[in-house]
Amino acid sequence: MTYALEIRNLVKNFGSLEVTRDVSFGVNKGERLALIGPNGAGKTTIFNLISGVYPVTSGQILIQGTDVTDVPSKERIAHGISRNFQNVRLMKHLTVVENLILDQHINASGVANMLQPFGMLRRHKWWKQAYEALEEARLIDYANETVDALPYGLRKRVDLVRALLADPKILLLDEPAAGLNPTETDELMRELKTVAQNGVTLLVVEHDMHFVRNLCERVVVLNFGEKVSEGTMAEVEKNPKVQAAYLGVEAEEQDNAA
Amino acid sequence: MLQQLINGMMLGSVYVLIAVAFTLSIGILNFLNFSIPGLFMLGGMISWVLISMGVPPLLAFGLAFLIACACALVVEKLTFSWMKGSDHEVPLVSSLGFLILFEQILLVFYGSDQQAFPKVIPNATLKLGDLVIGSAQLLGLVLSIAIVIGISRFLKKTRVGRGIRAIAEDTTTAEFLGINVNVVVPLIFLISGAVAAIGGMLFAVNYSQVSPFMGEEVGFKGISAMIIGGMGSVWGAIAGGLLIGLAEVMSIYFLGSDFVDLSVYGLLLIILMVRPQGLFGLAQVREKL
Amino acid sequence: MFSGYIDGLIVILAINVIMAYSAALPLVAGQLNLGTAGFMAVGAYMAAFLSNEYGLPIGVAILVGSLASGLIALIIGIPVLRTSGIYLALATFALGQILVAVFLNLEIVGAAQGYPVYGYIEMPTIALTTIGLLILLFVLSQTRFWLYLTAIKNDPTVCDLFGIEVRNVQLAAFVLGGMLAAVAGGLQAHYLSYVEAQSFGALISIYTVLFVILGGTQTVLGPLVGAAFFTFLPEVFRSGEEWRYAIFAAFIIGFMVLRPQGMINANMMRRLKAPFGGKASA
Ligand SMILES: Nc1ncnc2c1ncn2[C@@H]1O[C@H](COP(=O)(O)OP(=O)(O)OP(=O)(O)O)[C@@H](O)[C@H]1O
Ligand SMILES: [Mg+2]
Repeated sequence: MTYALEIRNLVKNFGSLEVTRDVSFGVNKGERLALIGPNGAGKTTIFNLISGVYPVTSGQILIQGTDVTDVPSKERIAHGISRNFQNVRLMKHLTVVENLILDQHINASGVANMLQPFGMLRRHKWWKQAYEALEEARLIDYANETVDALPYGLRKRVDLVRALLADPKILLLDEPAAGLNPTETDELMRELKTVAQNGVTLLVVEHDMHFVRNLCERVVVLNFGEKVSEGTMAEVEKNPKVQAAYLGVEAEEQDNAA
Repeated sequence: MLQQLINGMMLGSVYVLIAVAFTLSIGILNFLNFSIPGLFMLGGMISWVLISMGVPPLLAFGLAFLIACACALVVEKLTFSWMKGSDHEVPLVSSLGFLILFEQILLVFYGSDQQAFPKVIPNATLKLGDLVIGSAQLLGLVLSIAIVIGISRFLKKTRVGRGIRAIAEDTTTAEFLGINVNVVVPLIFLISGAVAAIGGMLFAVNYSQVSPFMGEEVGFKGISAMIIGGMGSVWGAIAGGLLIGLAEVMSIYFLGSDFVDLSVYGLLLIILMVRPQGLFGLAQVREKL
Repeated sequence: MFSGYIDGLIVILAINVIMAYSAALPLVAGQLNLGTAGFMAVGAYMAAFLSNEYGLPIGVAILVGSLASGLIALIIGIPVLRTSGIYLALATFALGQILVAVFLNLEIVGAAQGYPVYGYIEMPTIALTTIGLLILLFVLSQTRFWLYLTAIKNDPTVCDLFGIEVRNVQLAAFVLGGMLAAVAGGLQAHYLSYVEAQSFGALISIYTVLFVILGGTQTVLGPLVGAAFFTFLPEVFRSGEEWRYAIFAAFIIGFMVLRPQGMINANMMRRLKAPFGGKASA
């Protein structure tokens, strides 16, 4: 069976800095896979490579078996890729609802769509779709607030609504639970499970291990740009390399002390 | 022909100073400070005003210099330090406001005409065969190169200078390293304003004329020189300034004065399209997500 | 219709307003165009030449002038818009200077002597044209295109990730801006009956950008308000004739300190129109 999303031997260098080294893994359709690893392991970089922020140094990225390594972001979105950003990247000077409308672009490209004066047509489907999504996420009260007036937690939720609006087949979430309180985290978890049940493939980067354990079926562990382990949470946890990666120097010190 | 080359270098030395003033502000603070041509003009005009009031030239230059420096500090307060975190056009607009303000104030008092600047340096000329080099011109060239080298050494060798360069990398890091940004930023405005004012005086002495609008054209050419040399690079400013001076003099010589803008700005546009980082600049790095 | 003074003032206002939008279009996307006066010159000379030499109706001449200016903007914009920030501002500045310098040396339009224009248009025609353009611009502000412009200013990288053709959108804004400036130039040429290369100096471009930033780029009304305000402000200070531009400059500096987002900002407008069920919470 082909993976919904697969990366093969992915290498990315920034100058002389090797940020990912020969990383390969695949995500099955409808699967919830976590990509974890200590700070600076290269997780966000892998997301950026998948979404096309910058080109790969070498290796391949495949969506549903199709090679998208060298295609522009636009085509990757057309294949159903959607993502959020670790440090929420909404348009600060636009309102919440305008931010959502931006993300409809992939289904509303072309000159004719661009030049429709929908702004004053209050019943236009673009408005409706955006408002409905906000209604569903119980964010309707903030629809016309500019983003920079919102607290961080709300921005994070809007960012997620935005990422879901494009009806993605594959959703990449970079630390979605960071900065949320436990109640919010649980809520997010339930929401993401529903999303996955509807057939969306999830690839999640997250430091909150409780969250990962409860949400994800499988885990890939990255350290210094290399994949050190892959499997269920229980399997991965037992792996000494993973323990070393997470405990790092501390572990060695403890060994020495013992 | 060789004479033209020399004239071009002389003119270029004025552009060098303006370019250095701009490059300090852009390279370190990422701010295109449009008041610099205004400070250039203040240097020239105030010297003229004082000298025509009977103040001895040397004192007049000193006073004009101090006034221009004070103005540079006012500009810093009102365009930059109170505007942190605003859109990047905002300081640009207010510094333009200062350019207009300086020009208009002098216009009200002294009119828009070109004023003849008295000869303050003995009219000695150096004759090398057919070549004629005015003593004032030579002084200008030497002085501007000396100033630029001085600034470059200051940035490299002194503690404050290294602090300034740390700010160019990253303000937070600089603060972390114990650099007092509230002192260093005004200092940069001060240095770049002072350099511009000296440029204005040199221009006045060399070309024997001043006017409230003398800063504009020279200022635009100075910016072009900075870009051609590479933003933020002091040595680039020298190369760019001399190059623009040469291009200007040569196109007057070969094509006529109506072609000056065409060749100078044509050069700028081509550089921007082919090598936007300029001759000595480093390529822009892509932002990090 | 009115006295010559009022007539003249309305024409200046109309020209300033059109110019303001020509600078605003790219500026909404975060691109400083410091060469609008160059495009204005293209429009002025082209329209004047066509109506003088080929007897084209003035309207058609201005339209062709505008298209020509748009074409130049397109050809030059492709390489120039690769740069951004200060580089772009200076590239457009250089471009403006070059365009004007070309006319200064072009013999068939009188070179440095200037070029007389025989066709004449009256103030009301200019006013109506401007209103028509304003309506078009308002409609444009209601489109995804305009939304993309604002978004690109906020975060071009993310726009690119959304699949928005950032470069093409920017180019379109730049070209439209060039076309608008040319219309302003064509109108002015036929009102003043004279075109002179020296009158399209860099300061025109710079003042135009000032109007726009002072009016604010967050809403479609900002440039209009900015241009109107600064057309009338110096008139208000007429009594202090010689001080008026100094006061104007002091005002700009003070204004930027107090209200850096411009006169009209987005939140102000949103209070006025919250589309479709949206509740602006307090
Ligand atoms: N554009 C870039 N240029 C140079 N180096 C980069 C760039 N982006 C990331 N890096 C470096 O690559 C390494 C991996 O960064 P990345 O953001 O992928 O880590 P991460 O696993 O997401 O970490 P975190 O958990 O802190 O988010 C870091 O050392 C970082 O400094
Ligand atoms: Mg990360």
